Amino acid sequence: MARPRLWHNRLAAAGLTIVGLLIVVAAAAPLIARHDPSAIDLLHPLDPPSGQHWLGTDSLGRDVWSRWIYGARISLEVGVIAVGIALLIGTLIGAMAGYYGGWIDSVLMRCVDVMLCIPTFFLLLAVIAFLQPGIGTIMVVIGITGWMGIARLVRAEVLTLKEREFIQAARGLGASDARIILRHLLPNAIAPILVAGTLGIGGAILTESALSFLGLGVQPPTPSWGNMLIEAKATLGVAWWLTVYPGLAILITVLGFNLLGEGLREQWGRR
Amino acid sequence: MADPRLLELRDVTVTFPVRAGPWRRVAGQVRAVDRVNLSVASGESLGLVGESGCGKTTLAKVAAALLKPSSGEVWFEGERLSAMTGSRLRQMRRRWQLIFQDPANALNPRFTVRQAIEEPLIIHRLDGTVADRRNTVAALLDKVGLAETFADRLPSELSGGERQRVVIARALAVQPRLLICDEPIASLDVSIGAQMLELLRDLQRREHLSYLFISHDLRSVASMAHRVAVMYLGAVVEVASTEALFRVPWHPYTELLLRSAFQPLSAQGVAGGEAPSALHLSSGCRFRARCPLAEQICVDQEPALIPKNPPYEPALRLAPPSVGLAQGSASPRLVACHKRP
Repeated sequence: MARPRLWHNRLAAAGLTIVGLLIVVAAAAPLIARHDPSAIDLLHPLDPPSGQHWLGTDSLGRDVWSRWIYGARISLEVGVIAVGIALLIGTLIGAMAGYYGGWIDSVLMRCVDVMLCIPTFFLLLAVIAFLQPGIGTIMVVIGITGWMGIARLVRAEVLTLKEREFIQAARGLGASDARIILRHLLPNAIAPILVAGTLGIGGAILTESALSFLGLGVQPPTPSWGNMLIEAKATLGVAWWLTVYPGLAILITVLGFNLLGEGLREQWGRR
Repeated sequence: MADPRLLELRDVTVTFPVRAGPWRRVAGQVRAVDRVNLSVASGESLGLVGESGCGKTTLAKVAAALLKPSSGEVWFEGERLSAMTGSRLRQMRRRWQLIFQDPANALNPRFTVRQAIEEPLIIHRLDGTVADRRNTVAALLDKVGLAETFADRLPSELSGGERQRVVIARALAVQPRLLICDEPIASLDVSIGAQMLELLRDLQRREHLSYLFISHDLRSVASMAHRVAVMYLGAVVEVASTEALFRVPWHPYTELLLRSAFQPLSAQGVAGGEAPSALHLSSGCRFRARCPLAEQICVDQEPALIPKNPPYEPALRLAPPSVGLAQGSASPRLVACHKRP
């Protein structure tokens, strides 16, 4: 039922197409890639795009097309898992704050305020300074610095839902708090949570790219769009293909997720 | 022998803080329910009437243990609910159930009828297997006059009356002793409402249920209740058997209610004005601003409920504060105030 209406919204359909293609490309990476993304070929550095290397090679002679495709895998993985962590924390905290109210709500929401006061990127850099950079670290770090908006959203949803009589009815039937939150409140708040999650994936991919660009994210030789960009920086003048393709990939992906998120938001008609 | 009283409210008061100003300081207290004493006996229907905003729904929530009273006690079958918390209270909850005013709101929109009715069975572990639950759901739907084919529908696919039947079936799933019905037919149209009352009366006979039946509609209360309590601005001003109350109302407010319900507008005479705000209760009798019989003594003293036996005992306007609720006399009538004969 969701499909046809989503398709009627052109922008949302475009977003869905982009995201769908991206998922297919990432899933089928070993089939689509024409070379090992980490295979170094020092005899052919900085080859321009050709029949052999569709998007050319980098300074170590690695195939940019293959690295680009495997980079999609990393970006999606990081985006989805980081947002998953953020959703988990944000939903838990928001649901508790909204459901219990009172001092629990005050304490949790002040924590959110404090977290929001710290510039996100500064916070990310501070956290990463204490941890080994790497793909796992980056997922966790983006997750634990990105849950505040979701917590606020879930809290607001729970606050309005809590007043509905079916929640009172569930309490009257003897349902436990956990049951009320998990079976009654959250399923009815799922739409805005999914919208926030979809929009969040774009942001998380962008953050991952930025961190990788600073050398604090995904570590070479694992390809990611961000670290492809920094490797390309030195040869910017002679090899345009090294920066343009990863840059375009980031742009299109983030655009795709944002369009999809906006489309879902319009369709479910809230906030 | 077990206590014949199922539900008993003792001196129940509920106040809500009123916050105002830029720092949302507590500026005052609204007394939504003020020192209410009521009891519902096994097999009995107690009606509770009063105009909107008089605290009926708040009282229903207290009686259903969904809201803790600010002071006073709630007892159920000899056990004190107001002292209970957590899982103990959750287990107790199957002994009574609340029927809500708006069935559209009382059902989770994402649950099918079956899921809604199964939930209490699962919570209280009443039926072990999936097959048992299927049978129980079918039996419950049958009890409220719905076919089993309704089981897999969503609330949005049902009419108001059908939804209310599902709410009742869900409540019956835990085999409660008492149903607290908070305006159960107010959101239904008249003919459906009449069917619903018929269903409730029928269920009372077959399931040995007791009711606390709350309504602003005197006609439905008259057809449902054995006894009626009249509530005004948070306080119960009169309790009497249905027959006695409708034949000879003693409290001037009851009289006003009856007149407005059963007489054409032209015959009602003076409308009787607005109820004062529960936030600024004046001293003395809470009804005196609208009371045709108000005197100086009504300003000075607040009447307490006293047991009275009709007909006309010597006029007793104000009870001594020591006189509480008396139970058990032949036809006790509790009034705060009544007209002189």
